[in-house]
Amino acid sequence: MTQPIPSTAGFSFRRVWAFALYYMPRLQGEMLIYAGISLIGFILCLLPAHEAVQKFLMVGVWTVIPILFYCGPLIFAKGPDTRIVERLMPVSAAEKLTFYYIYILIVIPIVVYLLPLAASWIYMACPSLQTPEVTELYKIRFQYRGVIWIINIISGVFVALACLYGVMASRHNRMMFGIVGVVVANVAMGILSGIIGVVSAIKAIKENAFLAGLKDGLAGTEENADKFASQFVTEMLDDFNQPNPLTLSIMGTIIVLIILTGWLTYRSIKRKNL
Amino acid sequence: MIELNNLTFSYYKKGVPALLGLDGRIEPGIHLLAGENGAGKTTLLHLIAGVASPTAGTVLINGSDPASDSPAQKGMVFLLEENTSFPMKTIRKFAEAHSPFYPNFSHKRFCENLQAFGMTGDEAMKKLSLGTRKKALLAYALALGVDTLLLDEPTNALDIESKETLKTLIASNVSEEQTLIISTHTVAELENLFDGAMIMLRGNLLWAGTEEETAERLAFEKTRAPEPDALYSESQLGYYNSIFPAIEGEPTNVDWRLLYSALHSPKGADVLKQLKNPLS
Repeated sequence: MTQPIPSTAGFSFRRVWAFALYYMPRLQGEMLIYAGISLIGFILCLLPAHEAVQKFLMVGVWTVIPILFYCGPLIFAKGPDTRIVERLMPVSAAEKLTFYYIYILIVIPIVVYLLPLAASWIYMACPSLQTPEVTELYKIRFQYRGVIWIINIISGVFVALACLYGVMASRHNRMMFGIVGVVVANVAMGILSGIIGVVSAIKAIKENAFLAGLKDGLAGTEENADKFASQFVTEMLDDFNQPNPLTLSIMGTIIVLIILTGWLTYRSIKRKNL
Repeated sequence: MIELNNLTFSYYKKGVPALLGLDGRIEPGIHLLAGENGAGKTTLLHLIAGVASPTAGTVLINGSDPASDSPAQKGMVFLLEENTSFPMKTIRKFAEAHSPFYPNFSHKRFCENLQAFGMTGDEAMKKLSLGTRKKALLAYALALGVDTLLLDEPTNALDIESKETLKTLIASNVSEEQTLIISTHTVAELENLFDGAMIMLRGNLLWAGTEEETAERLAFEKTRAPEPDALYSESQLGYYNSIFPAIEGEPTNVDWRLLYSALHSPKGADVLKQLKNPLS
């Protein structure tokens, strides 16, 4: 048998680890399934298939992976209701939350993103695997490393933590409330994206590509319509990829939401009546 | 020792309280928790276990709040409910992951308890019947060595032989310093085991006392003929089981089932008056 864990006051990483070991049988299964989905998806992507098939698979895999990440906390709602046993365990709410966060924000992303990113690297490193359309998709996907990238990451973190809150806060139907958490958080992020889009578009109207396109259109020629449209989007995204009052306030809002969700989750773990 | 001070609990802010200002002291020992369906027994167990917080009043275990977030405090209590589940395939795997949190857990005792129930601990829990699953959990809970162990309906789904084994295990596993509260509707199955009782009615704790305290106030007798002086009397198979005010110096065996029936009967108020104010 494992050595007893002292019930000392204060935060203990030993208890966090012991709590993780208690969950391990459940988590192992989930991690294997997640890694399996990632692996199969990317093996399919790398297979020299028809370009359209490859493109479809790639888009599909990059759609599924964030969903796996967002829904990672649902594992704690799966199977029989074990809340009483977990609630009684001599582990503080902060230690439990630490374990949940490590699992959701470190373990799950490694499991779901590592293989796809490795596959992407293999793809880009092997010209024999490449097709123009898929290469273009990769370039678009990994084009932005500035503010857009950071906002993508923190909004994903917020959605996953909202799922955890749904699971921890609900007394019944924890699975359903976890999914509701994902949906609501995604809608909230969608609204923020909408605000970003509108403000960026209004700003980009004053840029060269829009004016040139407008002039071209008014002249009735529209010879360079595609070029101007693409340039307009690029200008808009380039502008948004820089830190400015809009992007910083969006990031700030998401960070505040993450902190608020964390605090609510902590409170649910600590005080929720069963 | 468990102290209840005006303990009140409502599931919803504006809802009808499930517990109505409970007061009482529960000394170490084995205690019966009895009450009709919906009396608030499970709610009381939840409050003592710290998985629910009182709406008003307090519950204290050795002077500390069981709902506190302290691991030391949480390690003192364990509640085994009727439908307790865990994520492992076998009780042995569960014990490996769960017992390190409980420093007084005895692996030897756990194995002995399993053996007494005719189990190895390696049986797949999913494939077991409700009764056998319960036996595995009881074997584990009794070996935990916590200060306060709460068992909700432990005899439900157990066969006759297993109920006898459980009685033996409770008697041998629970030390004098420990408090064991058993919530059950079938008092007779565990009779002679209880050092005290908590009897509830519609969210109220009518009586919480030890066997000695109860015997100081009430006398329990079995007679052939009805006794007009009895505080409460009921006939059973040609005999009359009656409750009288206690007579000093005359020993009596407390019949918890009879006391429960008396307190839930129309004559309950008289019996309760004698219990609370024996000199009146």
